[in-house]
Amino acid sequence: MKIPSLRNHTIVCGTDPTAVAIIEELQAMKVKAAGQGESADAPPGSDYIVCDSSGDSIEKLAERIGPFNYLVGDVTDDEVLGRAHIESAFGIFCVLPIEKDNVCVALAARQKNPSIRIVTTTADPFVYGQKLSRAGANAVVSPNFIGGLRIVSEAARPNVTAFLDEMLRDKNPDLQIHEIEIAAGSSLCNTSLMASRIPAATGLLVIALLRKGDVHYMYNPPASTVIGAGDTIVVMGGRQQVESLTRLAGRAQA
Amino acid sequence: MKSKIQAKLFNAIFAVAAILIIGTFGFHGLLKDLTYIDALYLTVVTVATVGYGDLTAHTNRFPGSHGHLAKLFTIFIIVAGVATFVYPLGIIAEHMISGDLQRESRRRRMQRLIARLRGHFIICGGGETGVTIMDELEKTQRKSVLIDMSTERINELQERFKNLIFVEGDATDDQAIRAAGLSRAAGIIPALPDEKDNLIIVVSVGQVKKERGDTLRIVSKVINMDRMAPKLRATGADTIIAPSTISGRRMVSEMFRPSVTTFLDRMLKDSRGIMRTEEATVAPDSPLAGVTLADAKIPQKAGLVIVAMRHNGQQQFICNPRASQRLEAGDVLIAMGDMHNIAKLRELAGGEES
Repeated sequence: MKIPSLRNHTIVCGTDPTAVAIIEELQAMKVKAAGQGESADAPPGSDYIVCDSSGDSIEKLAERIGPFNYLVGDVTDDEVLGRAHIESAFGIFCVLPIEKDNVCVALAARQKNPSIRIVTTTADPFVYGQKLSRAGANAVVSPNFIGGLRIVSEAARPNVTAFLDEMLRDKNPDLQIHEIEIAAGSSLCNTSLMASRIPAATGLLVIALLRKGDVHYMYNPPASTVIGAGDTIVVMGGRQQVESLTRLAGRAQA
Repeated sequence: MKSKIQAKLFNAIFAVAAILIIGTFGFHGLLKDLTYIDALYLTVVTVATVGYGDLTAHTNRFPGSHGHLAKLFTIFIIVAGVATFVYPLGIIAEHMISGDLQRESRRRRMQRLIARLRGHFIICGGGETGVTIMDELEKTQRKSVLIDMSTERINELQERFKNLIFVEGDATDDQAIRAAGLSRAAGIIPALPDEKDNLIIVVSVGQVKKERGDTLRIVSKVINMDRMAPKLRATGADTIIAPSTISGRRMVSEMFRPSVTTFLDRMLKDSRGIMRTEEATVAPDSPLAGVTLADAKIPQKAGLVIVAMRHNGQQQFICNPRASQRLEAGDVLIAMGDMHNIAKLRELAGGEES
């Protein structure tokens, strides 16, 4: 297959079930982007190319989800990465079955494209997590770990799962978590949580607070906690409520 | 395995008894001036290869006889008896060396521990997913029992989990699952590498669940979603989790929306303690049942804010519940924070978390 000149695309290395899940998501994004009309610029990364050393698995996948750009070859070979236009890519997914190959590809990708976003899997986060980060991966995801965690949640805290699901999947617009940074000039600065009357004025629930420069959140902060400039408060509630708080806080933070 | 050792030992001891009886009656009949006690003594001294020499086939022969018969009989007792006498010792030694006895005592110790568990989770398979599951259950102060076939793997995991409770056996075997305390378990998690094995577990446990009509949660790991998921659902799995699908989606969101999941993710990775979003169900005899949220004073008692709750078994969550909200038995409270505080909340709610 002829490789089109791709720009701002994502590269998927591998065709295992995890890679398939990624490709399906990417395909859905692409379809959605195409639906928004010709005029709209395609969002970065919605174009993708799949690389795998086995032509068979690519063909099988194409039968299932329809045609897509692909490249048969060993991605640990820099030349193959070059043919996938790594220099102009937005991001790369390393989902190869061999851990060392993922390290290898992450390293090569980072060298060839310093601004690329690299997301990799690992079966063994204890051994390979750090190695992959050092090799240049922006995010390392362990199927065993998040799968295991999810299984426990489903088995032992099914209500929490339903709750977080509602929150994270935007099913319920009144139920979202937002992080809001308090600007220096805000009226909320140097007031205690109680005095700030966030729950009363906005109806929001303050679930955590992150001190400026701190890495750890403070959960369930007591009402006497004084908010400082640059602190981030994590609130739960509806969009409108959050907007009113953002106005109080001074400026918006994603 | 247990019965095999017992059968062997039983046979060996029977043989020893037989030799002692034959020897006692034989020597008593063939030699002069021997009581039965003397004859038994002579037999034991002979087969134990001690041979003090105070009683012998020679010195105690009947006057006039050559004692050939007595000597031949002694030879028989020595040849047959020594081997018989040593055999049971050999069996015990062999099993000590091969670890069978140790395994057996370990099994009994585990059975005693399992008998005391209630509301625990049974994990079938100690692979990487199984380990993550056990780790998370331990961190959130829940009990688990592992079923794994490999002694080697169990030994390995015992180093990692100090209080590992396990059943050594095949999880697709009903007996192993029963030994893991299925009747008192809160849930079972088939996480074996072979998908068909997981299906077999779900089938047999699903049947038990249906018959008993209880709340046992069956959550199965699945690799090939398309092929296995319908089968697993039809046979009684409450939820099916495909780690590869979840991680694929997670990877996509890490790629395009890296900031969205940060808060909850960072919460899981907090190095100061174990931070979780957790739930607690209000028991009928809990001090929380029948009072308003304001009167329950959960922030003061447990250091937590109730972020959401499920009231009266309703599907819809009440988010950020008001102080005037009344709590009833069966309500599910959701809170975020340190596991120490969560434990306090669970205790307050009645200790039982579903």
